[in-house]
Order: sequence, then C-alpha cells, then structure tokens
Amino acid sequence: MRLYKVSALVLKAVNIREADLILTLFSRERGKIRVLAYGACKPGSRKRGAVQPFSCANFLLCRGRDLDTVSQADLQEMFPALRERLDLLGYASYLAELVDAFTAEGEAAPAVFELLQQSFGLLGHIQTALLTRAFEIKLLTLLGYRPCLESCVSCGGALGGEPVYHAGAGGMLCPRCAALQHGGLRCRRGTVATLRLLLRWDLRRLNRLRPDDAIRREMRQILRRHMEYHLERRMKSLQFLRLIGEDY
Amino acid sequence: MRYYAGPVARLIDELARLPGIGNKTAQRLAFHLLNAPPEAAHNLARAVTEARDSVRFCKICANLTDSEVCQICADPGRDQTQICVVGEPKDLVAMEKTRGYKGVYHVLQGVLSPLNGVDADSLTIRQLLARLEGGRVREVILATNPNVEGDATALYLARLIKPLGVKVTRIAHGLPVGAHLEYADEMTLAKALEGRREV
Ligand SMILES: [Zn+2]
Ligand SMILES: [Zn+2]
Repeated sequence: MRLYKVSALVLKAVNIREADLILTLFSRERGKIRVLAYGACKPGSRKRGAVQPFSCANFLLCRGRDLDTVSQADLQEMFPALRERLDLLGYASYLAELVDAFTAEGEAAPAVFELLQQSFGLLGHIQTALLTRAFEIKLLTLLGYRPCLESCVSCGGALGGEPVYHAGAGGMLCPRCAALQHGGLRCRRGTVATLRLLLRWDLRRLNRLRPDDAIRREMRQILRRHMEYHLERRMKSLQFLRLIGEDY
Repeated sequence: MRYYAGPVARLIDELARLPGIGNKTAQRLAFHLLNAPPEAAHNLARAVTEARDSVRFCKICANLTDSEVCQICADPGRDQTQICVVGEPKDLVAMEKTRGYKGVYHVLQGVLSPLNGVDADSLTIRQLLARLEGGRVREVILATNPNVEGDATALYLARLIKPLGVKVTRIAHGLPVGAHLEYADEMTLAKALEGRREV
C-alpha cells in the first residue's frame, strides 16, 4: 500500500454509486487532487464530516489504479456558517468553483490553499462582495492571470482619467489606445485604484474599504469579463447566487 | 465494426444508457437475459412497461403512485397540517420506515445544487408553495439530506416559506453531517425527526 498525507480543503463532493463520493480536494502539498471516498454517505462512516465540501481536513490517501482513495480523514476545521447561511453557502460554492476551474490537477500552489482557507474563515465577517472581489483578483494573480492595472497595456503610458478595461488586451488601456480597439469597458479611476488595493491588502482589512456602488459594479464586471475570457465559460454557482438574489 | 447481431447490440445499447451501468455490465446483463429461460426476459419487459405506464406523480405531493392521489395523501388518518419535504421518493420511503411520522409529504424530485448549476423550476417548489396557501398547514419539516445540496435546498425553502407564517423546521439531531437518509437506521431517523428545530 502506498499511502501519503495531505491537508486539504474539499472543493466538491459528487455522489457516485450508492454511498461513495468523488472528492475534488485542494491540498496544500499537491494542489488539486481528485480522490474516491468509499462509503462516505453512510451515517456510520468516520470520514463523513471531513469529506463535506468546504471542510478542511488532514487526509491519508492511498494511491489507486485510477483515482487515489481516502484511507483516513481527520477533520480540522468545519466553517459551519458556510452551511447554515444561504448567502454564505452560495459564495463558498463560488470560491470553491473558481479554484477548481483555474487550477490543474497535481500542481502545488500552497498560497492558493491559504487564500481559500482564509476566505472560508472570513465569509460572514467581511463584506461578502468585497471579499469575493479580493479573492478573485488575488487568485488570478497567484495563478498568473492578473489583469494589468498599473499602466496602459498597449503603450505603457499613464491610464489617465477614463481608463478602459479590455479582456483581449489583458488589462487597462489608456483612452487613446482604447479608441483603436473594439469593445472594452470604460471605468472610473477609483475602480482601478480599488482593484489595486484589493490585490495588495490583507483580506482581514477589507471592512475598512467603502467603495460606492458604481465602483463595486465596475469591479465585478471587469473581473468577471477577465475570468470568463480566460476560462471561456461561466461559473455554474453564479446561477445559484442569482437565484438567491446575491450576485453582487 | 459490429460484433453482435442487431437486436443484441440494441439490447446492450439500451442497458448501457441506465445510470451506473457501463458497457461491460450491459453486455453481462444482456447475455444473462438471453441465456435465461424466455420468461425471465418477458417478465422483466412486462414489469418495466407496466411500471412505466401506470406509475405517475401524485398530484398533491409529487410522490410516485399508481393513482391520481397517492395512498398517503388519501389516508384520512394522516395529519394534513404537517408536511415533510424530501428530495426523492426513496427518502420518503426511508422516513415511512420510522413509523414515527403521521403527517404528509412533499417530494421535491431533486435538490438545488450550487456547484452543478440549478434549475429551481424543475423542482416541485411551486407546488409546495401552493399547498401552503389557505393556511391549513401549520408546519413544514425540511428533511433533505444533510449535505451541501440538501442544506442549500432547505435554507432556500425556509426563506420562501417563513414569510407565509408557517413554522419551518429542519431535521437535525441524530443525523450526522454528510449522511444520506436512505442509509440511516430507523432509530437515527426517528431521533432526527424528534429533534427537528426551527430554521
Ligand atoms: Zn495606451
Ligand atoms: Zn401524495
């Protein structure tokens, strides 16, 4: 038997046959891994609590022919609020789905693990929409998809009073360069400045920020366009957030 | 290239469409049926057709039934002021086995899944809300599985139902997180029902 240990957050649990689950884990040591948890839906199973989405647990995994299997799971942190409040459940699903969508299996990214773990813990304590935006831009940055926010992507010049976000260009354009491109999203200077703060600031400080509604809306649009440009699809959990009236 | 005669290939194809059955299993099932006496296949075919043609959804609670209204809804001994909401017919069966519940049911025919995209309209939520009109129902017991999908569904329903002035409870105690109702023993389920709490 070839056993190994990881600490991991559960991104997703899919029920297959009877009481077995396929888990998508994001581990500190090995990044994303998909594993099989046999019998995890039976009330008597000792793995049960630890294999629930959003849980953080220490896993003892056993290498398998196809998928590795969960041999033991020791729950470390549950984040119960994420299962008791509809809005937090929706946002936690969204953050988990983003990590799943932007990472490939077996590529270690401990900073992503820490970002997700910290964000799960802060949901409910920090303004949810801002936490989500900060999560998005930090995740994009950690994985090498950061939009350029400092100067014009095209000419390198200053952004000026009315910068334009352009997904294909990979970030902000100055008004002069933007005029030569199709599409693009005109936005306020304050939006770009706030995005830069979200990128730099520790998540725990975010409650000090009070951006106005227009800036919030523009940040959401920019980040969403940027992510959809790279992923070429939409997150499914957004549908759920919209259903519960929470897509801010 | 075709390995099997037309009818055999078709049988294997049809079997392989069933959930949890891969090509290998489909072949095994097909050859089992072809090697067994003809009655085995005929009986199976008849059972499938009869079940499919006679079973429908109860027009009140959406449970599987062979009449317009299911036995439970039609039973005058059941308390019509208490509705227990479950995801699937098999969960209803699990609850019935406890024998501790005297109210009626509502089968959602699925649950909301935040991570798989949701189609709230494909569930029987509107039917449930319609049953609550008129003020006869005093309590809705949410008995979805205690996993993310079950929690999401219960929380969403609680938010829709509470403003109607109906008491909403969720079975909780005794049922471990992540467990499926159908694997719970009767004791655990009976306890869970007893220990339900307002949400
Ligand atoms: Zn420029
Ligand atoms: Zn009925």
